[in-house]
Amino acid sequence: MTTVRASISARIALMDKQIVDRDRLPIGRVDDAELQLPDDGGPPYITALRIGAQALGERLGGSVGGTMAAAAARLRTDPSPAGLDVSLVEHLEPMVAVRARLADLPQIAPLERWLAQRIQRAPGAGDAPQ
Amino acid sequence: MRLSEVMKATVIDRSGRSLGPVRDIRLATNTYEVIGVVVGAGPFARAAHAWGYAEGRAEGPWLLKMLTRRAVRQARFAASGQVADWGPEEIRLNVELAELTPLMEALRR
Amino acid sequence: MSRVFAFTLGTLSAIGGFIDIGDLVADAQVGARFGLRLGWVTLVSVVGISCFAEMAGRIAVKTQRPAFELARSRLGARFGLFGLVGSLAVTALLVMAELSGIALALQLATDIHYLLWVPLAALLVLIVFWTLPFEAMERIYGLLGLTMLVFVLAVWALEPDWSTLLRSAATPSPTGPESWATYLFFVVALIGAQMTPYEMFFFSTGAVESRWRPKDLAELRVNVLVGFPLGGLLALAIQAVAFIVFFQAGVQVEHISQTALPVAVGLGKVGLIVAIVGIFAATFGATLETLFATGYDVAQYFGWSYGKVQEPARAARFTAVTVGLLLAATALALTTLDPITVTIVAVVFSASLLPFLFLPVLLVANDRDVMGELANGPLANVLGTAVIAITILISLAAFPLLVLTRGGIA
Repeated sequence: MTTVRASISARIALMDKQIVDRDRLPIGRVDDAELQLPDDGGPPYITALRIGAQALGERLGGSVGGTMAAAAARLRTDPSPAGLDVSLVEHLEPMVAVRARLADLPQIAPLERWLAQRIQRAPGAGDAPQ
Repeated sequence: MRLSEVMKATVIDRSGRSLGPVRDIRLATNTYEVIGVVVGAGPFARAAHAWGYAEGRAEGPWLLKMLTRRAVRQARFAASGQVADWGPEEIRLNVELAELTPLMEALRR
Repeated sequence: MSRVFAFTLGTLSAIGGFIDIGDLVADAQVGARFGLRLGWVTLVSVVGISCFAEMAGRIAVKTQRPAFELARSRLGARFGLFGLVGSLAVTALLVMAELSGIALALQLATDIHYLLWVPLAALLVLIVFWTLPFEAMERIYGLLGLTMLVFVLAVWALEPDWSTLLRSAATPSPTGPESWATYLFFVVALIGAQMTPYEMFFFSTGAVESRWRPKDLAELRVNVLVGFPLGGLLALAIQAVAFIVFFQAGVQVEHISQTALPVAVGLGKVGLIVAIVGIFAATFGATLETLFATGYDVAQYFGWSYGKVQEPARAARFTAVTVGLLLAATALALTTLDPITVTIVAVVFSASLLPFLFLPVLLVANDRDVMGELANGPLANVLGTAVIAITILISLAAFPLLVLTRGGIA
């Protein structure tokens, strides 16, 4: 059982934090997180991090958030927002570091991939990461 | 449920008194389990919690430290064991406000 | 050798924030109408931006991450978004003015109408942005920006009455026909033009790229203490030459080409050519820096990879946003909106966003869990708090003054 002293603040140390993959490539930010309540009456625990403009829009709410979420949802093929299983998280400081490679996480940043495919056709654009 | 929903919920103590919005959630670093809920009233309470004064991680600038002083003193920690219901929009405690540990003290344990 | 470059890089880039199109326009107007009576504002700007550039650099040195990465968690997603949208609007306007500035510099050199140069200028910017790594851009910009020192030379060459200059600088009040409202409006405009956001961005990312560590703090501080005052000196020189040449004659600065005229008066044709090169370099470089910094703002808000060291395809969303901004600015420039008016509105807008920019830096710099022993000391906090208080006042007064003085014309 972790002491309060060793615990972290969700507001300061987790929410809105930059997330990087195994190669230190930016993945996104912690826009929200999924919580599960166990059946045995214990406290909730985080199961996944929600990443992306859709997750952020749903969190912000209101007309601004709603528009953002709707726009982001339009750009995705997968109906549910991107989630990152919390078991993939290596450590949280200074940024959230994840064990996997971005390339192995297709549900995250699909817009980036889509644009990269197109941009790399232009001269001098370099290669999109595989 | 979502972390953002829990962080927007209002906390109610056992006698039905509203303790205001959730100011923060404390998490275990290995299991990502919720260790407890932070509440607190007072002027500039939002700033006190969002900018680290309530946790004691920020010592300055002097002006902000002074402005958030009262809110820092009023910050309280409710361990998960003191929470009866996590349910959306309202988190109900099974204790009274007076039984809650001040946050700074809780952080030392 | 790279250490020498790191040193000069900081210094040269610090100058940059004081010589882009917003500064050229504001300094020339101020000089022509108020002489050096707003000189104290430049002093405040130098102190202010130095304080925060040092903080941003120190944060980057400690965390090895750009200072703004922690901004969203301090400001919250909502406020951060507001600041972001604001800065996107400012950038579109500023880049529009910068493109016009490049085009006008080309018009000065070739006599071909500037609107015809605008698309070419935009294309040039796009090519450089697409192909040149950021560091190379900064170096070239910094070196070429040094040509702006010709304005300092011009002050000497014009053989002014120094006591007049000093008396003007020591009189913080409006000149005869001008009102206090206009005087205060230009305080806002100058602050907006001189406390340029991308300067902090540079010091923050530059510190990470140069792999500065806590032991390099002294070097960082020397960069700050040499670069920004030098930039301030340039700004004062532009005001001074406009004062000397235009004030007595009662000439209003209505055209960007007029900023270079006093140099021609003082140093002749050669001086004018150097000034044109300087203006071209300053506006071109500033366009790139502004675009880059804003693309970066969007990317870091959402947590995307951004193009500092990546090729376009490796930071696709960042590239798309930045190119989109450039296109929007080009379209705006082609609407024949007056660049001077747009510039003034842009710098006022920029001034009103400064608190959003500075506050998170001050907050993070005070966080002991992040900064450890490098957290702010009393000096940084006193200065920092004072600067933020000033920027909040400016932010509140900006639009009322803009409307009241109709953009400084009244």
